Amino acid sequence: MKRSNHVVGGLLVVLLIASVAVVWSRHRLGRAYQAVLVEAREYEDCDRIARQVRAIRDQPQRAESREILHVELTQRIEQCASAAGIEPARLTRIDPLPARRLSDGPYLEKPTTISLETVGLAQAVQLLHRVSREQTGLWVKEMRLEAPRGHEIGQYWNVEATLCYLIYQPLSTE
Amino acid sequence: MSKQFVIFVNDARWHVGVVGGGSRSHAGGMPDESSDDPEGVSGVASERMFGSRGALKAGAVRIEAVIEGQAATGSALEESCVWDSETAEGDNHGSPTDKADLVAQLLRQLGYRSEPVVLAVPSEWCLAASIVTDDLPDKSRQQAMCYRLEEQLPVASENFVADFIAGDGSALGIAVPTARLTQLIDDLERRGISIEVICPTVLLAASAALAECVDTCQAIVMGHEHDAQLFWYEKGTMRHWHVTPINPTVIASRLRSWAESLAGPLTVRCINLPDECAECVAGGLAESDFNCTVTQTELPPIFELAAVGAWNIAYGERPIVNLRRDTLAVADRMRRIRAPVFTAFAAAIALLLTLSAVLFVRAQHYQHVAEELHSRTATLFEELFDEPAPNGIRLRMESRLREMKGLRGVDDRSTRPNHRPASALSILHKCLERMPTDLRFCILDIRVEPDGILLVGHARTHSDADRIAGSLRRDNAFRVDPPRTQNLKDGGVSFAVRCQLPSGAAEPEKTARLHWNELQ
Repeated sequence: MKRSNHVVGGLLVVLLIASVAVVWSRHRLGRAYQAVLVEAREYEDCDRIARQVRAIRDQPQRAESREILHVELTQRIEQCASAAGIEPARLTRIDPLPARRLSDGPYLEKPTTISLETVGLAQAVQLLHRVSREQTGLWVKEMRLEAPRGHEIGQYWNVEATLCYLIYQPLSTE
Repeated sequence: MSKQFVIFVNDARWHVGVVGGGSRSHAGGMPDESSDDPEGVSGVASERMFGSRGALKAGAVRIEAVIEGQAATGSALEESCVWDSETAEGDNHGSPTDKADLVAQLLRQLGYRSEPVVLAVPSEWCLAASIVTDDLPDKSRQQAMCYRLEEQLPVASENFVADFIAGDGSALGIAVPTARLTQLIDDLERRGISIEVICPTVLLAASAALAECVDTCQAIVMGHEHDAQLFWYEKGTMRHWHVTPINPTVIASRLRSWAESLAGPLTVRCINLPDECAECVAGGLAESDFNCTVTQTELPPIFELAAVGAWNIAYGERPIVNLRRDTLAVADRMRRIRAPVFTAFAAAIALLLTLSAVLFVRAQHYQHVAEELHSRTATLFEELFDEPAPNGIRLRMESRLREMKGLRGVDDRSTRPNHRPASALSILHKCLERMPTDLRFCILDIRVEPDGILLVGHARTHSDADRIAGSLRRDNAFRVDPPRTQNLKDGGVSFAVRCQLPSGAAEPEKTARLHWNELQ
């Protein structure tokens, strides 16, 4: 009798352990199944994103991911001025202005003003064109050409131009 | 219930009986006519035993001798003994323990599977006496009856187990010394034999064979081996039981003593009693001026009758007495279901473990699939961006895609870099190419703004200034306000022309480059 009770007790313990094992295995199976669903969804999403990335990665860049170093921009302007045949002394000013956000959007507009004195129109246009061509996303936003006094009208110009480029910098809330 | 097993114990010789293997018709019904075994028990034994009371199918009763090594081949035996008589015989098989071993083996051979067994004990082991129960309290009545029975027995109540056949104001107590059965029951139970009922053999036989005639007679004399079992009934209830040698004088004397209070005629039924003995009993009773009728009946041997009585118990009939009580009661009521319960436990454990293993393997498979998918996702990222995959690949890819869209101006959001104004070079080019070539004028100041251009210069006349403005309006490239003009002191006029780009006319930078190249 007592032995039987011990056997029953032992069987109950084993049964309990087996039940716990089943519950644990079922829980593990559920987690593994959920993991499969999550990973499958993850792969599907990533594959879709990858197709989009491949589709747009060859498109030209219209904005910078960060602000161009002032030194870098200055060197580029000087090189372009030199290439346009403008003496360094004619490039009187390069003035970087603070970037400002466009309409609370993800873009910042970074203006830089350059001043040229007594240069030919062709030289000025060539300089600006070169700069905007070599630096992707850079464009001439504003420009003022003024005939300097004491020179033949139309031969030389004092030029003040504002070069701009966009920086993609979403707000933190985006 | 397919079978009922009975163990007949005796001081020297044990028997095992098995009854059933077929169905049982309801008591009082006709014999089973559907049985196709004309030699079976249904056709012979049960009709002889019950008349029309009940029936058993073929192979119903089978009695096997255990110790003596020979089958008790009664009239109802279906076949000869299958028991190995050589094994059964021998000097080493005389003890109750050896007998229990043999009984257990024989029961297994007969198909025993832990069914409840009836243990039939011999009359010699039993003590019987009638007691008055009128004045006994209802509370602890059984105990009180035992004490009252003790007064008439040579055994202390602590040493016997008794059951009672209750009557009208009295009861027939039947007791068996505990010491007789304790070891025996223990031996059998330890061998997996479930003793459910303990009853004297002759009472089992009486309950099966005499159920009908007790209503029509007062006394029954049943011959068994060298003894006569005397039963006295009142109103269908057994009142006295006495065992005596087959001696007509003694039998008649006992019957006379019981019949003293009888008012009506006395009917005695003799069963399996020698004819001459029955006649002597009838003669002895006639001498005492009893209005007496004695009939003689031949029935199968008492073991077969008892086996059928046990079979009736198996089908729910209450045993006439059951000595499996009090100190001889079943110690473990669960013993019969223990084995099936153990089996069920084991099966449940096996099932659960199997289920657990299956779930585990399945989970492993799912985990492997998940890892494979993660690996493919990481490979996708690495191939796309040529850098190690970080944690949270999808979030990083979404971030990268959003950034790329932003840098390339294909962001889904409303503010796009496409809205940036046309290049000043482009506006300047557009303006200069529309200047009239057949007029003499000079430009002193040009201000190019995102939405237009302002020209300041000198012309010869006011109308020349208007012509310049008109020329700029060509192709609707600009919306040109009328020029502001003013005469100069030294001749000519100064003018200022403001040109505005039409709304939404953002010119791609590429156009300006093209024109510039043309100019070059």
